[in-house]
Amino acid sequence: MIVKEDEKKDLAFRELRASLQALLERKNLPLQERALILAAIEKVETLLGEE
Amino acid sequence: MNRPQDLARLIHERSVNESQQDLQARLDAAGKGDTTLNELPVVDVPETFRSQMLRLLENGKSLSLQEIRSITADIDSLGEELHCQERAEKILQGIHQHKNGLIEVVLPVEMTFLEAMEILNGAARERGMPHDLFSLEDRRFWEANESDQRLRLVPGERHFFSLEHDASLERRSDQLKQFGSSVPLAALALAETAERLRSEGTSSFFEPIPGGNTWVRGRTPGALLSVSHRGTVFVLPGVDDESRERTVYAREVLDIEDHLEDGNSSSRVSVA
Repeated sequence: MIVKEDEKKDLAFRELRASLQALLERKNLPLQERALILAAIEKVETLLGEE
Repeated sequence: MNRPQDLARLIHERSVNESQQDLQARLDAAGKGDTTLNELPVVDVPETFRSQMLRLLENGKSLSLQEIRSITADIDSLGEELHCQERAEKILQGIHQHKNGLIEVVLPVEMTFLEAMEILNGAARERGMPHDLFSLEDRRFWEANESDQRLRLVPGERHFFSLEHDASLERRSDQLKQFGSSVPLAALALAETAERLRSEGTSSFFEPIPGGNTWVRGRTPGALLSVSHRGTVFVLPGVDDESRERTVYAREVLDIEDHLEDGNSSSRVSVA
């Protein structure tokens, strides 16, 4: 089965979001980086059409 | 959302001007309520992380599949590194020397003794220390020791001990009569390894005066702990306890209230 490039990208963005959410669990992450991750998650969700 | 001014505002709002309290509230709202900020010391994050996040925010959809995967891999790698440091810090929080010299040890509940030692070795490597802080060459000895209910260090169980340097010329049986029971050998190894990590090799519970070639007895008969010239804590199994001299005894302290200056243990950090 041929998977379209858009579908691959969609899957890659979902994996990226999961990784960002996992990174947010780290309690020793500085405040600014934590804020950036939250912004990045929102961005990815917008790209995925989930917001 | 993709306009540069919007992005600038987003980052500005989400980082520079946001108070910790507000950010905690947003974390709670995002379902991350169990994430308590600044419970552990924060670490330095590589500058590449920030540039990657900005690239994601600015370029978004135009990122190639390869670029997205590359960012994901870097984030996973950073997450693993932070997780290792987080767990090492949690172990260190369980080791505490009181003003009267009494040493307190507790192994976090979520890890075994050998896992903790691997984490401490990993943390030492990340701090640029040249050698392992704990020798895992005797893994079989430790596996057997930690499977023995009478000898093992139970995660979450708090131990207090003092090192009786003045009685180091006595045999184990005499030390046992004089001081009573000892603490699990793994508690001693954990305490010494943690102290060496915390001080980056400059401080030791076993050897308050460096170069003493000290041997330490714990609860396991016929086994001693020491520190190599490279600063690695190791066990010497198969020792004749009745013939060996010059060995420090780790006395277990059970009546804590009489020994702690503050009279209670509730004010100390608990990692159990």
